[in-house]
Amino acid sequence: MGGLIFAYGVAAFLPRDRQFALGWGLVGLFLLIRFTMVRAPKLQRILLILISAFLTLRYFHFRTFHTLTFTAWADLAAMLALYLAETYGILVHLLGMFVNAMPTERDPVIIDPSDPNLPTVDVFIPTYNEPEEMAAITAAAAAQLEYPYGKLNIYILDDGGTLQKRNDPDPRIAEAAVNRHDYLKTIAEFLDVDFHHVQYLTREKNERAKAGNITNALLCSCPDSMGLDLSRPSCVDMGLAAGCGELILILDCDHVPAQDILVRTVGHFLRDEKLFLVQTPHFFINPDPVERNLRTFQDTPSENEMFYGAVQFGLDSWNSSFFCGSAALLRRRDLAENGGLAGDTITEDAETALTLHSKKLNSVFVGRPMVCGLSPENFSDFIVQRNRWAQGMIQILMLKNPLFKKGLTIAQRLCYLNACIFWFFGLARFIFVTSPLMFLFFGLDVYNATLPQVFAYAIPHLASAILLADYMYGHVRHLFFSELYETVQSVFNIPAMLGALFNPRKPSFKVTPKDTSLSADFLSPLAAPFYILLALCFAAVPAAIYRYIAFPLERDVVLITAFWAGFNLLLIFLCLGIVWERRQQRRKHRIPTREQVRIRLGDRGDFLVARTVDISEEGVGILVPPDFAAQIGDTISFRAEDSSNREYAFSLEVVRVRKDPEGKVVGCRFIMRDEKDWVRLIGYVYGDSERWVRFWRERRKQRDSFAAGVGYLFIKAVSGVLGNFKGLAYILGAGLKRIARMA
Amino acid sequence: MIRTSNAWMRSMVFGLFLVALLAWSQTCHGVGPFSTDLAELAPIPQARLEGVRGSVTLKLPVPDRWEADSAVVHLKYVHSTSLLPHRSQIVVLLDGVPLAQAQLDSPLGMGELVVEIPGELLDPGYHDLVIEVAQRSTEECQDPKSPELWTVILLEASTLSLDHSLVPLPPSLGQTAEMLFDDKQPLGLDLLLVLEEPDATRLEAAAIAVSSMSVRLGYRPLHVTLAEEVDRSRDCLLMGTREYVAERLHCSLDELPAGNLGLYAEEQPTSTNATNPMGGERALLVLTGASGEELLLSARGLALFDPLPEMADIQITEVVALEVDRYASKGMLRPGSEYSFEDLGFSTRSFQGIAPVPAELSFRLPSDLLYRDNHELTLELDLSFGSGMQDSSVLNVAVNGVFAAAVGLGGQQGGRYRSFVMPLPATLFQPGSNTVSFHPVMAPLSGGACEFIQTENLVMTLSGDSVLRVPEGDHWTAMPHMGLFFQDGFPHAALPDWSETTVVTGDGDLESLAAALNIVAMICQANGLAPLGIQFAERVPEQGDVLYVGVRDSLPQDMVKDSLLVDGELLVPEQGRVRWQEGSSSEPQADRFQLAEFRSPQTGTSTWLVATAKKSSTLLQGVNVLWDPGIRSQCSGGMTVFAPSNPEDTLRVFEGDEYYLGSVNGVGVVDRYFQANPWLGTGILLCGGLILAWGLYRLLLKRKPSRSGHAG
Repeated sequence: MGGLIFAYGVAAFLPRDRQFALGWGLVGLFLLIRFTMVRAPKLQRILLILISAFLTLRYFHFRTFHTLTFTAWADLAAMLALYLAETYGILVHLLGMFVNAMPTERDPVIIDPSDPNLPTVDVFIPTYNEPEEMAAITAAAAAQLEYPYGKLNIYILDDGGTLQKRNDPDPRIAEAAVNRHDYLKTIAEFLDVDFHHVQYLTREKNERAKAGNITNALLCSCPDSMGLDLSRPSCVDMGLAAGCGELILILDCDHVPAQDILVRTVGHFLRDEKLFLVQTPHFFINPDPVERNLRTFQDTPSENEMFYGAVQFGLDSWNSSFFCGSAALLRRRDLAENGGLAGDTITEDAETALTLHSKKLNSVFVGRPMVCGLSPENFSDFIVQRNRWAQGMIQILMLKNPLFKKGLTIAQRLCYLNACIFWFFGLARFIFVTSPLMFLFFGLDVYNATLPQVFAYAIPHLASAILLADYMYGHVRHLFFSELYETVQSVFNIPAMLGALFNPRKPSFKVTPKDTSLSADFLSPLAAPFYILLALCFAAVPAAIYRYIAFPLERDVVLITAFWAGFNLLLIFLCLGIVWERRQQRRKHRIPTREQVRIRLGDRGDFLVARTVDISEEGVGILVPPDFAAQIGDTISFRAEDSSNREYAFSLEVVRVRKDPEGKVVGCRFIMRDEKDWVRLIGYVYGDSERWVRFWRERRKQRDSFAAGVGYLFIKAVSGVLGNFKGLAYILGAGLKRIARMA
Repeated sequence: MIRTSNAWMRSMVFGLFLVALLAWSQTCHGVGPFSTDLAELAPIPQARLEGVRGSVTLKLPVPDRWEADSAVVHLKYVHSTSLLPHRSQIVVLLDGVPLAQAQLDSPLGMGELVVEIPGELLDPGYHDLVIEVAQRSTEECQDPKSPELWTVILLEASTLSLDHSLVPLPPSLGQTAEMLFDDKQPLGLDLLLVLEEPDATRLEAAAIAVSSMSVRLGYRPLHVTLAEEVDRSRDCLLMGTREYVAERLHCSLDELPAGNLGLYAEEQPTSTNATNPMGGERALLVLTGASGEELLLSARGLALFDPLPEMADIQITEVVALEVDRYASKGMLRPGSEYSFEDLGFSTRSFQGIAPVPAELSFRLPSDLLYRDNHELTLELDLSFGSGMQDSSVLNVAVNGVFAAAVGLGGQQGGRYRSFVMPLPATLFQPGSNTVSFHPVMAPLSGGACEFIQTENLVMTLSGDSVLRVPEGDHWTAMPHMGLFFQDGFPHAALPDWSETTVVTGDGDLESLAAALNIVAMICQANGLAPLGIQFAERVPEQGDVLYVGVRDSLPQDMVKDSLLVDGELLVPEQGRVRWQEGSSSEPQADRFQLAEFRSPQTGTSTWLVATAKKSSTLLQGVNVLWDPGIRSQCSGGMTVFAPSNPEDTLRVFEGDEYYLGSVNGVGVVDRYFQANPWLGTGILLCGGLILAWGLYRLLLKRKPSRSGHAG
């Protein structure tokens, strides 16, 4: 009954003034519920979702039945393009409401590491062309995982050192592969001695990329589970005999695990025999290109935090949390029955999860960050990564058709549909940027509504959508950052998306390179489209002025489109700031921390309590009292304890001292006596997941009001575009100097 | 003191009295001088003529059945005192023939001119009575637009008096119909209806017959009165069986025309050589039928046979009427359609000069048509314009007098537009009649003070192939809205054949019946269609729209209870348009005519319209007043009340309880309820949302334990 009334209300005809009152009245009601009904958060969420859904559907009804008219073919094309883009946006918005209707925050399930009945676990670390040191760090961290000895095997799955690569006709490639092979094998052998079993494994040929690598490892690490002979030539350089772990922890080469990852995840498998996956968040210690180039890393949550900090909880409530390729624990039995990681698409992770969900198996999301990874360093790499995800998810949509896949519940179908169609954002965003220009330049009738109707229908819908997004994701995604990320990817996303749409079986992908050095500022090679868009948006200003004067009957439409074009211009400014790549001064990324440590100068005297400022594998910054007499070159004894009361002791060398309002910050370099020190250091820097939790929490505290959020964006836009133009001027100047010199 | 002892003397006095009475009655019914003020011909109260040369043209109608003897125009005007008398004059012309002129030389600026028009210039037809001025205020080079060059013709104070007599009507239905229903008749047609046994079926036949006449009259009033006897001094319509007709005409059955639709006229070579009871100048139309149904057949024949044949009588045996829909009425546009200007009676025309007379495109939209703010009616114009015009030359397009759009016409080369699209906001249009007017304003490229300015090149032609596109809309309207009834009969004549409406005549009084027939005729004239599906009844039906016409004492109690007609007494608050307050304490006004519209208490989708008064004579007078378009246009809201003797000063309008007709979302009942009860509707909506939220909340909570603790 309530649904019928709701449905009628969406379509109800009211005179304009009453529609206005209804729309804005509901926005007011939204705010009232938002700020008063805090004691019943679940019911509050449902009410807010329903209000926003009502306003959105009401707008969509108006948009569909009262704004689509035929005036001319060109107008129709532009009008339909915008309408379809809006329809897409509304669909994603509604699906988002469904997914996040009642997110699940699980109670922690902690195992006792001394329990002898714990299942065996194999850790797979697939690697291909990442720096070997990166793989070594991950392997070293994995070797220190808190888990009973003998029940854990770690495999470095090296696709960069396959037989095929080592025998490459190009001697440079072959030599590099051989060196890589030797290095990683040595690392494995070294770690195997004092820590958990670590084995090096490669294969004969590079087939089916990461999916093939992992599937091969499944075969090699437990051939009986898949009914195959151990002597298959694909199991190359395998160390000990197969471990046959009941569970498989998959870690990307740059995803360094905290020591408690298994302690906090294995327990779920003991409770549910039908569980095939426990996914944990991907957490990055370095800023992505957007955060670095706009300098927002310290002020705002990372882009992935919306997915791992909000959406995954929603997916989990619908048993739809899917495998994201890393930082996840899977049940070998289920993977084996599936024939390993599915490989029809390039996002084999999500595809595998889809298949296993359709077999009525379950998944869980544990929302604690327990691996530490790296974002792409530069904008080009960022785009390559995102295009790969886009192509993969669209392949899943086209080839696996999650909406009609048998075995999935309706909720799961909608969740997977949401995950797949999200990646059409590029086309929609491009249309949103260009539509106002179609009207201002060519007079195309892209949106047939008067200004009062926009205020009665469209603005309440937009307002409620922004308010709801703020309510659901505001702690993990700041204002208009979604629009920013979509806009900056849109131009490049479109060809990738269309390629996968029209040819889902064929798109290839590039592996995301990691740890590329940024030694100097430079203009991204992908910058050109944004200059074109900038020129167009600037040209829209005089076009708007002209149209306002010359076509008085269209003034309300001119105002709407001019404001819209102005918003797009703000986003383009931000994009220009992003494509001016700022140098990365440090080789290793520093993690901000605020932890108590004990230090003393040299190895004599009492330890005093100090506080860390930041930390990396190379060094640590420590806030000391002003009278702490540390000089550059001095040695400091360092003692620390993590949240699990594990103690660490290192020697530091002072490399930098600077003043601080609270005292003095001493920048130090870790002094490694031997490789074991290095392994322990890895355990100290990356082994405590509480450090990542605190880091997330710190950034999520900084939540601004709407006005402050807009102001922040505006400031970043201005500084971004000024930085870009300064950079361009510098390049131009340098070029001119070069020409002058040559002349 | 006159002693009148003789009987013959008394007879003579009585006879003289009768003659005088007859003469008076002849005068009352249109024979003799016709007098009116010129504002009735304009129709504007005054005309301001500016510039070196100005004129105003009035259409002087002379009906076909008049023989005009002479006419006198008594013109009053005021002119600027800055005019040079010997170079400023006023001229009155009829069809280009100057009739009188005078200098504009009054020191006070006020003047009068008497213009005699000989009868030989007043043939039947429309005559252009042109009042023209030439004005100068200086002997030197005169700025043609000098502000001191003006003369105002006081049309309301100026009069026309036309002496005429009636010509004999030809013995032919077709020719007589042309003369009877001539739209040049300034007072319309005064018709006496003699109807045998006014039962429901015969009243339906009468309504069809008189309405068809009012349709033929175009826009002139048709005043219908009922009587039991034929009056030779008036145009009559006699309806009944052949026996009844013969009795009324005091002749035998054999002497009646053979057909069931016939005309009696002097010297008519009827088939039976029956005595003609009428004078040659008055028409007697006869419709016969052996029963009510046959009479209905004759009436339908009269309605549909157009033009009528050139015969004295015809026998109608069968009538096949085409189905009508709600868009069938005159000038009504169908939403979702496109019309060429030609279809709408606008043929290709040219405009010439600096500010030529605008042209208008008139049409009607359904009264209950709902357009949203962003809807547009679209013009696609085909036009061409001459060369050598200034860039400031434009074609301005106005909708109902409001500027809407413009097209530039300037340039050395001239030009042509094909399919120039001009969207017009639907908000400029209104239910009922609409006018789109085209005002070209063309300026020559060059010209200065006292220079020769070529204006012959200032030409624009607007093609009849241009198109008007009307978008689809919803049918939805707030009621009561009496103005819509007088626009196009909405809702009673929403189907123009009135097939969804019942006319209820509460009392059988002839004046009340005449009032009902007049109302129906009035609305049918607006729609251009006869009410072929109309139904009359003595009791209010349970379904459908109702038009109730009767004295107040005859009103059913439940009708009174649910309307503004409280307890049968008419309570009239003092001031104009007010919200009706129950229990108002004003004195009842016995001489008032009352028209009330409200929702049927029986069904939520029907409307009752009640015309009533204390006495039937007041009722008929009130309805007759409604033939005046100026009074009709003031009728709106839920109730209109006025004294027929002085409607302008006594007319009051009242709001009624709001209700809605139509459907927007296909759920008409809910739509209407929601609109009429907005707060309750909002409350229901919020409750529905709360119920839905609670249901979803409980559903999701039920799932939660299985997900939050462990899976499965």
